[in-house]
Amino acid sequence: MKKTMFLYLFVLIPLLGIMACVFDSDNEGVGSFLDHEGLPLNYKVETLTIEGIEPSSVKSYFDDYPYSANGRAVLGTSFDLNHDLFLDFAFRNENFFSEFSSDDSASGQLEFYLLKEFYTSESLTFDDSLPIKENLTLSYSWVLSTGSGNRFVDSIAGITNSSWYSKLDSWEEAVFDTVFSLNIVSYDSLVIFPIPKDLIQAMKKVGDACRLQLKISAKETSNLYRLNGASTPFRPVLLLKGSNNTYSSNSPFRMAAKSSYINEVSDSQVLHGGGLRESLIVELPKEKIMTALSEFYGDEFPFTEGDSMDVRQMVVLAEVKIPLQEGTSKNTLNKPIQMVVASMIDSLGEESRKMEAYKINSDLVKAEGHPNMIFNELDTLSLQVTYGLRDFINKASDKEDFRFMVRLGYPVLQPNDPAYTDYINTEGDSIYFFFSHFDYVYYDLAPSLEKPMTLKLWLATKRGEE
Amino acid sequence: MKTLLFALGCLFTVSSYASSVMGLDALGAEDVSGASAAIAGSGYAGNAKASEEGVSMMNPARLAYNKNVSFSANLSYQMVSASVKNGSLGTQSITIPSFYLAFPMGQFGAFSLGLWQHYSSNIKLELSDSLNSQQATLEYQGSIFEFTPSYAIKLPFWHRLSVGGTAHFVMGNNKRLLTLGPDNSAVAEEDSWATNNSDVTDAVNGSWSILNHLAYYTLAAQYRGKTASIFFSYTTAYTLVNDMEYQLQMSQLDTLAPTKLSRQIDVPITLATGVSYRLPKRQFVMFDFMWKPWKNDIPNVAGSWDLPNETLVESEFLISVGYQRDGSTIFYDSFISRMTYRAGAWYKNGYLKDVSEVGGSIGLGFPLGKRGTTIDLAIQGGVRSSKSDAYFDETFIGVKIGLMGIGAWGNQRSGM
Repeated sequence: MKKTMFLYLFVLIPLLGIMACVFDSDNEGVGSFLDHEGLPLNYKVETLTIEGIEPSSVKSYFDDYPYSANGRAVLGTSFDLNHDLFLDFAFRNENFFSEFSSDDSASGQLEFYLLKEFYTSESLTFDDSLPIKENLTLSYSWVLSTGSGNRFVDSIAGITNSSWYSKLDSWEEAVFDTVFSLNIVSYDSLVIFPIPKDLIQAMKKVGDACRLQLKISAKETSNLYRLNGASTPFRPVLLLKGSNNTYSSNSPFRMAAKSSYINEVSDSQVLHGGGLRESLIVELPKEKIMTALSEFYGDEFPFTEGDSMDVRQMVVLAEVKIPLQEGTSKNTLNKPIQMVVASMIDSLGEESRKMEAYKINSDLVKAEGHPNMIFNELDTLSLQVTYGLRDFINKASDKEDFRFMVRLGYPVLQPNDPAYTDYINTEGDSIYFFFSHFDYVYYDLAPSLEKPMTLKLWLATKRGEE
Repeated sequence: MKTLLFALGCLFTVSSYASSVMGLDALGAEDVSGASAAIAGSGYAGNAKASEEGVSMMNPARLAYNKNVSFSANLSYQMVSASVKNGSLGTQSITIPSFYLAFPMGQFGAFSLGLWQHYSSNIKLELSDSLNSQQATLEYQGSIFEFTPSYAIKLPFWHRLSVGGTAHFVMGNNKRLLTLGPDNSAVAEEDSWATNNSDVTDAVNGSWSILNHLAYYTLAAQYRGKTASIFFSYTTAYTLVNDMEYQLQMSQLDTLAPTKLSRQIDVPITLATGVSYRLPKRQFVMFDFMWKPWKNDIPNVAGSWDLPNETLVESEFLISVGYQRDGSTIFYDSFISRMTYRAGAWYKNGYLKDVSEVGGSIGLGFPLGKRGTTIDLAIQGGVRSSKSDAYFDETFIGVKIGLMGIGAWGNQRSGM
């Protein structure tokens, strides 16, 4: 046993130590080997700035298809957009309706809760404007179908949201306006909308069960009311009152909103935020980019040898800089808004949209704020399109012009914070980077996109010494 | 024995990959003679020794003299130190370069199956010098494996002569990854933020096959005399095809679309011969010779920077001499006398132009059990030196361990 220990301690372990030293590498050794093999020790970064690029086309896409308002609902207008609400009720109350149908003093109202967490947010200053007073014109239209029994009510729950949305778009029912004076003094109080007498009359025809699809518009207001939706604890209530204090109180089981232009527009380059399905697609001319690369490298661009895949260099980062003209643009929350970027890249032969990553230039952010934000008093908007340009140059031989997409994201509460995310600071306070509600804005990019933009590339190349 | 296993255990835990840093972009390092630990122990000599159980890639005809079903697996541990100008460069590798099964079928000859890593280029080197913004990781992982079914038979009218052949089905992959950190020296200071955490990897991934054929072939004839044995073998020429994809990547999920390239390597014929001469007391002296007249330079993996496009070749030959003292087959003899002892030396002119290798080895065979199962251990050392500036001289030490298992399938139990 002793002999074995001796062998381990004084022969084997020192021997292994010596061997490990002899057969190990150090930085100088690896460096001189790589150099000898013709390999670099790092990649050389080069920047290429391509100035004076005018977009070959700019197209906006706005989708006014109805969408869910079960969480947050909006009613009213925001600049050039109108936001309608749709409520889907299904209920039965045979006892109530048996008296209600012959009740001359029957009445009703629609009660909403305001989205209190929005209105009372510390980041905003809405309290200043209380009370909100206006003469509001509400336009109602509805589809009422009657039936009886639980089976009737249950059958309505079986109608999927998507098939409901698809029919809302083609509603042509009679419209009944009500004008009343709205006065909001507290964000805790109910907002009570009167309902037209015709709706009460229609509801009198219900014997046992009914399905009521109700549409509300407020096209003439200049306000946008943010309300709680059907799946929140503070969902709206349709209250029907009979004489003798009988009443029926019912909430919609789902809600939808539809945002659309107040006036028809063409060739718009306006973005609205609000989480709406809209985008602006900007196309930059291929030739301008290829010519600049050719001049920079002295090589042929696009690359057409072999299978034409260009792997001679890689875009480490690409940034497109747009001079901003925000004169005609308007917002409501007075916060900068993040611009979200995606690029059209090739994925197995199909064009697909890839969201761009955003790399943070901390020094710049601390001094001037994030460069990818609007309403931030910047004269230039810098958008990173790294994935897009990387793919574009890689496959330039069979690509048309370079395309990227922009839309508006959330308002930003800390525009000069490089964190770009919520966090807890050293004092233990929660720092929220984004505001958790959308702003509904009017942001016209047309004046900005009229001016030539700049594309800046950071490139890593495989070219050796000439 | 325990100590030995402990030492080997220690060696394996510190291992990375490499058997040579020469010719990594061509074929890599060659493992001759089927990479068996027994043959490595006697300096690659002994392919003609017909009394040896097991499989020889150089001489498939020897298989006909196998008496028992056997399998062998080999493990190779190599340490290489290259004499770079300043600093030190060393690598270590561990591989399982071969595996064989042999089935003698009496008068119907013998059949074997094997897997042999013929060429390998395995290395991982890291450089991290943040002061000079130098950051590079170079990794090669390449193996040309051959699946080798062999058949050999003794001539029915003259048992001293056997003939045999092996088909070599080529497969395998190769990969080169060069990961580099950014050098911002040509970039304005306010622009350097853009390359934070942006390591770029130049990746090449390839696979191996043979052009227009399924396999290449070795044919051999062996004479087994009472004292002297001799063999001749001929291996056909073939063209290796390496289909590769080149790309640059930020991560495995964020890559450029690769460009596809293919290279063809003309591997020439191989001629080999060897003699084994029996001395008294179970002693043998062996001499082997192998010749491979490379003609066409080998296209490299390359792909820009200042990588050369071709590796220059020259005629390859291997001269080896070896000595072996077989262990006693009498189970009741002492362990020492039942052990097999081997020693040998070789001179090899590799396929890389102006590179020659001189090496020596000692080997031991430890018998396990009655049937002849053995563990073979070979320790090899030597130098690879280059007359040209294309390569650094190398010193290497290698340990090969082979396990040879002998079964008794189909054999009659000797009467008790």
